[in-house]
Amino acid sequence: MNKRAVFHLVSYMTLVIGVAIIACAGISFLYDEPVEIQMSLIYAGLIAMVSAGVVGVLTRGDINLSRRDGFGIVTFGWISATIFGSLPYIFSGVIAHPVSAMFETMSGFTTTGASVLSDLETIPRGIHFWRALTHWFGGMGVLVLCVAILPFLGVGGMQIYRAEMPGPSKDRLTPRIATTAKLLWGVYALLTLIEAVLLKFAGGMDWFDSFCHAFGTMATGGFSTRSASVGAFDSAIVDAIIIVFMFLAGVNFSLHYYALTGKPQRYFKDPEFRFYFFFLIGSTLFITFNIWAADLASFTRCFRDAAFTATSVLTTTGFGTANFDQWPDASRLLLVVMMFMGGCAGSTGGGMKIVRVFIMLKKVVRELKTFMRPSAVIQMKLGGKPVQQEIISHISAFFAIFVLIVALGSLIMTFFTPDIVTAVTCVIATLGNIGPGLNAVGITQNYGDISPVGQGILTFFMLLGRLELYTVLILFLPSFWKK
Amino acid sequence: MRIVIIGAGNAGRQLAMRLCEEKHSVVMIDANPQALAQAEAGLDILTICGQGSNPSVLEQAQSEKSDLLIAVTDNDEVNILSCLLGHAAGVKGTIARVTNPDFINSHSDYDLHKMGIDLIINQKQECAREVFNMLQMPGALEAFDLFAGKVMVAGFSVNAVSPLIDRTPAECDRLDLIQSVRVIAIRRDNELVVPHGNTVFKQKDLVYLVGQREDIAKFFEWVCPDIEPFEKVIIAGGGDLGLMLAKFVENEIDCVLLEQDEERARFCSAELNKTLILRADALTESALEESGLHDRTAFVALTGDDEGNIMNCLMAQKKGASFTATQITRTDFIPVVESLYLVNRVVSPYISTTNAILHWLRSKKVRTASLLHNLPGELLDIIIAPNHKMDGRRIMDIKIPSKAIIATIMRHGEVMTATGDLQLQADDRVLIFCHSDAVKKIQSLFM
Repeated sequence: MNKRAVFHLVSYMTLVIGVAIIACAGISFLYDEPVEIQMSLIYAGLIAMVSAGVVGVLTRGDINLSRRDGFGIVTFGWISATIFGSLPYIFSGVIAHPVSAMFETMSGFTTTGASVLSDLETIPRGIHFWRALTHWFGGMGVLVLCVAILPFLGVGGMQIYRAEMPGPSKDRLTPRIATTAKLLWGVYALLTLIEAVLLKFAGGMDWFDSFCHAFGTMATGGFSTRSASVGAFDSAIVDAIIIVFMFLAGVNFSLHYYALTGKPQRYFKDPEFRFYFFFLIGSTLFITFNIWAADLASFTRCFRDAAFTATSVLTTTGFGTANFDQWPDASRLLLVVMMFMGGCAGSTGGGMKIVRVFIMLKKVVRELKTFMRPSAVIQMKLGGKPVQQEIISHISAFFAIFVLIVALGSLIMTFFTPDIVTAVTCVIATLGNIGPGLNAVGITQNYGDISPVGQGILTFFMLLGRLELYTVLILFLPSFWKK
Repeated sequence: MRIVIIGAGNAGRQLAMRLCEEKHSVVMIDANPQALAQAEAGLDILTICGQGSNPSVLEQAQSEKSDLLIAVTDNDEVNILSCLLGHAAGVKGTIARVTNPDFINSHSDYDLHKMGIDLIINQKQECAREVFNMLQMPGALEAFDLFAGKVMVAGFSVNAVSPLIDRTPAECDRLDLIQSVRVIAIRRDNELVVPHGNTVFKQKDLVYLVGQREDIAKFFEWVCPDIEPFEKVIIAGGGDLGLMLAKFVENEIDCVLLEQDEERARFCSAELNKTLILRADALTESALEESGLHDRTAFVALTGDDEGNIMNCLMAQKKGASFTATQITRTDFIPVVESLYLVNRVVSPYISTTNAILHWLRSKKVRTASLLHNLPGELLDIIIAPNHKMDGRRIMDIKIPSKAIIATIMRHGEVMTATGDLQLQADDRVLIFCHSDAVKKIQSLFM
């Protein structure tokens, strides 16, 4: 690994973080908050910027990145962003313990939305805005943003893009990777803006809440400004707007780009999108009838809650309007399965990604067919195009590692949690970047009761999940560090 | 510009690299997924797997929205067809690499240009001409003409008996000869050095200079005292390239062509007039013996087998050949062969292709742009526009990037020496050599 070039690029990313933290001080100033809050944000931002400046100057030189360096940059970049991003919480005293502060920051950047904070209404707006902004940066990827704005990266940009963008095969909208990154960020920013405007004018939120929730939705994050999450607004219109935008955030952003350039038919030509769309409708209906039969509320209320929760969990957002922990076991189990699946490849959602699940299901069918006719040659196709054998075996390995980590992680977490359901779901909820799990980490609870050691482990799981395992795990291979 | 390149071979990859450096958007099409993966690993390009002459593949590459389509596969018909399809779909410019001379030298009613191909490159012909130039000027490892023969660019290697060794230009005894030409670049251990007054020449340096043909010839006589004109040229391999070279050479120097295949040898014999054709394996002692190899012979190995070519050159050197050149198609071999000084000159046809295409691309603003063999630099020929900020500027007042050097100036068809107090005028043609990194800077400075 070319350490000098890796840390040089990490310093650029840290600089972006520093600037963003200082911008939050401006928000705090706008709302006339105590000077200490603004100062803590400014200090945190300055520390990040100065550190970035010093490292950047010390490591300057040619930037020639190999594939390996891409993984290094992304992993260390995210760790650096989390360390510096946690400073505002610590300096302002909102979260005292540094590990908890890093848990909260990592949860923000990885768009998990798991929180250690309980009484959100007492937290200053400057800090709230930073919390929401970590979501927004992490959703499309801070490094993808760097690829879009740093002109000198060239091929190196591709290595970074490959390591940070989710999904088994990476789309390229345009020949040059910097242009692709710009377009994706453009689509992302546009959708965020539209949602914020709708939440303000149709949903009746104030500008602050509308932007914080728009950041949380488009990044499929889940941090809210209220303890009762989106349920606190108790408005069908707000719910509807957020459902639509959570759904959009879980779709491959390349498809949005094609739709915006006049090819909306690409949505339903995409097999992953079709699967995502119909699976979501199916599971919404299943949950609706399941909870309606349990006589919890009126049918329309059941439908509204089921639609919101199903979308929120499948896209790994983690906003809540109803306490799904009180729903029947069938619905709760379905939600756990949905946590595993996550959004589409190339979206901001977490989990294993729909396309991987879809290809694995096809593989199972293919295996059964070849069992029956051993000499049959069956080429797997996706949307009429053959799927390469390497991608299939890559996905099988991904599945195996994912399940292994869930099993091992749950075992470890039983030491830090009161029961098995909590232990298993907190690992799935962090690894899949969802946020809320079941029982002690359920939608109305938070992660504040888990000890700092447990929080530290979950922080690592969030990073693993967001960077899709390989990017982080590859750093543990001894040969990665050798020349 | 958005550019579609069809063919991920040596020429395609080399071109893509140059075009990416200049911030063009490049889409590459090839039927071989491995070749594409290899190209994509090192380049910021979009790759599409498929046959370049397939309309649906061209559509997928959004060729119709592109500014330029370059077809450089091994197959002439694929190249021509994809260019024609591209032209019909509205691509602004098309370039095809065509090897078979029948496509080019036919009757003017059957002209590919008329069908909409803007530039047709015969890589092998260009390459053969380059080798022929070298053979005509003993001592030169590279030689080509500019401005209709008024200016010549030549490269030579500083050998053990050269009077230049370990001296700066000012310390040499024949200052008049040195001042008549201009040293524009030195390649030392695969690095490019842009020279200035205090640069010391070292043995094995590859020195490039610009000047008038007579001056360069005189300079060469002095700088390479041990080299005499070749009496014989032996070409191993009667493929397209070998045959073309023999056609050029046979009228000037004695030429022997070694070809193993009976039928091909017969074909060559029919095409050539004065050349002696031997049907023999060039990699045997007896064949070299029979061809009459002696100490004033140039040996050029042009078969398709890289390893065989290198070996063949070494055998010829052992037999006393004073100059050896080999064709190498595998790009990865070139730096090794050059750094070990195994042969006098490596010939790689794809460089001529890249050269011709870059030349064409710049033709609107810059008249010629040439690549020097394997050097990361280019020669730019820039015309000073009337009332441009450079019009009337003295050369010493121009802030030229350190990686660039003004080689020479053409004024009203006369060559001017680029001294510091020369004032530039409108319509002057300024020849500048610069490192690839500095091309953009030079363009913004002069245009």
